[in-house]
Amino acid sequence: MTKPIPSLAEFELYVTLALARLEDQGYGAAVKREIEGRTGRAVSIGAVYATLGRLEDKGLLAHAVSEPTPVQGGRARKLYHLTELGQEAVRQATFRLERMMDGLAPDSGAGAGRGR
Amino acid sequence: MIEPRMSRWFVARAVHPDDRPFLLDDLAEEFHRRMASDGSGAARRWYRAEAMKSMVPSITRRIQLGVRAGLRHFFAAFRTGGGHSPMDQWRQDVRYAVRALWKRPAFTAVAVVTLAVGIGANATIFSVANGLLLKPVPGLGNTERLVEVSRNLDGSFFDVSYPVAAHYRESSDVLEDLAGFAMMPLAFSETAESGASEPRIVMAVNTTGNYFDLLDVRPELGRFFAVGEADYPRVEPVVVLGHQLWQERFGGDPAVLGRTVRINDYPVQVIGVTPADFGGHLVGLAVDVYVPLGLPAPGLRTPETLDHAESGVLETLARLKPGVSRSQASQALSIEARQYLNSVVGGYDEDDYITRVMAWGPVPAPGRVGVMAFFGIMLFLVGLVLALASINVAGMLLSRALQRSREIAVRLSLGASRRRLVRQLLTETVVLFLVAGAAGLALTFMLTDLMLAFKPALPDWINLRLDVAPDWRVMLFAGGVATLAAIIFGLAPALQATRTDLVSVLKDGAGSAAPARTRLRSLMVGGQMAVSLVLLVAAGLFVRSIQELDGNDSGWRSEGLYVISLDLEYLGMNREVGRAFYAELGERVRALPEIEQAAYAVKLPIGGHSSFGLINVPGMEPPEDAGGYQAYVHTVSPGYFETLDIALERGRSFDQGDTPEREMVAVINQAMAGRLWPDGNAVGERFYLGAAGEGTPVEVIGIAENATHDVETLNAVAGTVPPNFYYVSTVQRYSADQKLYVRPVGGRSEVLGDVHALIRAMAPTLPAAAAMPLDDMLGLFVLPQRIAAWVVGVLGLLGLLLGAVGVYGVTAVAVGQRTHEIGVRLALGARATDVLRLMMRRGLQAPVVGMVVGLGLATAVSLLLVGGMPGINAGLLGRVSPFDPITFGSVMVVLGSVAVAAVLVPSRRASRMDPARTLRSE
Repeated sequence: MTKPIPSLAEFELYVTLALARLEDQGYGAAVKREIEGRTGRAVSIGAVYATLGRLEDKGLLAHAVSEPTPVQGGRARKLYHLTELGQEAVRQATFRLERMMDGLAPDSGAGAGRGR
Repeated sequence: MIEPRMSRWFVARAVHPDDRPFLLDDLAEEFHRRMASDGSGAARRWYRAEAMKSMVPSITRRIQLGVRAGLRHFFAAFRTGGGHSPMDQWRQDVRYAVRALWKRPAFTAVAVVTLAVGIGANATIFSVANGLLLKPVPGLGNTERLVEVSRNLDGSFFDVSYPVAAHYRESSDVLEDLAGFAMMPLAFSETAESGASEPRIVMAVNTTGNYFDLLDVRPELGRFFAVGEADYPRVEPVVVLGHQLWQERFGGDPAVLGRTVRINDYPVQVIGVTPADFGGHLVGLAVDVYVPLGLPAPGLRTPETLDHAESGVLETLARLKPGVSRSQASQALSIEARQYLNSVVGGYDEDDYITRVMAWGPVPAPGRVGVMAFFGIMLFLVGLVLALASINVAGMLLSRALQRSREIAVRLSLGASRRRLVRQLLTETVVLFLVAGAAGLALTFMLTDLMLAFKPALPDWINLRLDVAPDWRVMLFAGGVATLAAIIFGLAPALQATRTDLVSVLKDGAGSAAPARTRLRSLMVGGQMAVSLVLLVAAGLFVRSIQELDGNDSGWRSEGLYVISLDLEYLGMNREVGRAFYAELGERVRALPEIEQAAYAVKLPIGGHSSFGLINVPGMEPPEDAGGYQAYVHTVSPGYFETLDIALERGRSFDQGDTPEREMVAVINQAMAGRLWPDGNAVGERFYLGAAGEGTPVEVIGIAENATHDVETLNAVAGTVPPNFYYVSTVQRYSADQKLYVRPVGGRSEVLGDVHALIRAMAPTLPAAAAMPLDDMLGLFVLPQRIAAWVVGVLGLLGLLLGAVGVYGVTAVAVGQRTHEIGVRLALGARATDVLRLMMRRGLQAPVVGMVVGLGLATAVSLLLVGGMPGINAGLLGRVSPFDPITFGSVMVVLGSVAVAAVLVPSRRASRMDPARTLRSE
């Protein structure tokens, strides 16, 4: 029996996409900045960590703790990356989204990508 | 500069430990970046906001993980049959606790009932406080950044003038918006072809048009004020109706829109209706109509008062701009107000106008401190009741632990850690207290339900709107209180029980009275005595204050008197017409056959604040630094003294001949006559209003017996000399609002209908409130005190009961434990009386110490109750002395007897024992 690919809620999709963009620099604050910068939507750091944890539970992400950054008082970071399952989930979610938007006129509001 | 410590602490607790260091580092990183770019204030604000926003998702996540882990453990435990993880141990403890409590139903029942009463009382008081102070006012939208702006004058709150409020609104860069309003009762009637319906007095908000916008309310029907409809000086004759009034007077008919109704006899058009759940911005008092500020209807804020830059006539609601703190706003607004006032009137220095910006709340800021202090005291007192109940249960737990000392010793000797045992015993206690908490919560639901059924007789226009039903806050409170009490009062018995001398317990089969255990028991008895004493003294003081009020010899007779409040301001009548109206109405009422007497006064005989001012008499040196004598004044009509049965010692009372054109005349009380004219007849003499060397002359025409006319004198410490008091005539000093006092023959109230018919005939649109018995009206003034007295009285009785049971129980066990020692003493030849004396002396030590400590605490509490607290003017029970000998004396006697009885009964039994039998039984 194969497990179905988990579907992603809106915010989960943002987080996974942010991780995809950040490549090997995907830690909490970076994800938060990425989402805020691109969507203009305020995101709390707590929500980001909670979502990262949840996605990891589902097997969509994995993390590694980095070496402390090489400056004085440098800190270790919990760097997340998408697992194969995660990459597949993102592909499916964006594919579904594209199919839903396909053929909609750009001025219908959906094309702007910021429907609130 | 480091991150805000509190926020950091909270968010650290909320976040899952695996993520904690990373999240905190992330926050710190951003914080330092912002500090470098925006400054430390902005960075700290950001940090707090960020931490706050992170709480909910973090806690949700942890709960989710916790539940998942719990379920996993639960099922794992089923599969493997128990394990040693903390979760398993905890589950074991709870299961064990439930079983242990279940096995002793009598013990459990008594403990649960005792604690439920204590927790229920706490939760009930908290429910009321919650309804008043914490629950959101129903129907309001966004109340974020909402504040009340007032003028701070010597620490008191003062209303703001319209020009200043308008200036704030237009030019301030700290406020988003500001509404100015006044609340007042006014007459409401509908117009029909046949004329206006019978007017009714309703509660009104006289406001600028943005009131609803600020509170974020949408109309249920029609619309709210449009631009130019309520923007003084641009005002249209429109009105918004409250939902309840719309239902009651129009049956919820949507066709009400566009209809003309009358506000204080002034026609206005209905433009909208508020939603059902909205009743104004306050909790407690429902608003019926909303009228534009500046509407030229009589009785509302007049254009002249609104134009005056210095007369404070408006309360305000305002919304701060995002990121502006209240202290920043109050500084900025103070400066703006001063600059504005200097530009129009001048003369305002640095400290002459200080603006106060307070957070908006369901209770207006000026009253909030008093309400909070009141509930603080009440919660303190019920807290004491819970402490008593908890000590009792702790005593029970201790003696149970004693019975179980063998079991505990066995477990200890088999290698159980003491920590583990303490935790288990404590779990048992917490479970017990939580069960009691649930029962107490049930009690709270019942009590608050009962409370809602209680409706005091209030004037028609006061619609109480207070929801005291318990909500999640109350449940959280009850749970918290129960857990806290369980830990505070369960820890000592648990520690005691596990501190056992294994060898002696296992050998003898019973625990010997370890000194530490005796000490704990003494502490319990002493604590109980102290707490009961404080509670009883508080209860006694409240009861005494009510006695004082009831037994008060006011000097006037209220039985059989009815009061009808009238206000010609509602009709906009001028002084001459009004004076004639009152004179004619008075005549005609007196002419009714069933009316014994009738008169007017501007106020009730007590209640509200009396007018108070300086007077002087040429040639009399006023008291030091005063510049004149202080005197209260009361404005009454001819016939007043006869109607209220105030005896005239000399001279005459007022008559219609004391016209405004003639010199002012006054009737003074005996105290004033004796003080100002010590050696002779005051009648015919003159005094002057104001400080020495100025003022209107007033001729004394009569001397009345001392009578009490205001709450302050009523509350003044018994035995003090009555203050100076004089009466002037309503004929000479007209007031638009007057109270008509009527005394029907034989107290027959049917005739009051005739009085109302008379008023209707003379002024069809004048609202006349239903006649209320004077006693009922006066009762309203002492209603809070009466309710408080009743509540505290019940708490006192509970305290006495719990204290007595507790002291008796603990002492009996203590004596029982010494039967062996007593047996030895008796066997060695001690006389029964010696043994008795010894037992009494030892047994009474703790209660006596407790009483002494309690006396000290009670005195402090009593000083607080009687003397008032900082920030609150009057104490809760003005008239009673804080050292009231009757209260303190009787409480000492009652508690003393309880203590003696509690020690005496078991001691006597012990001293009469047959030593042979006692020794053998050991």
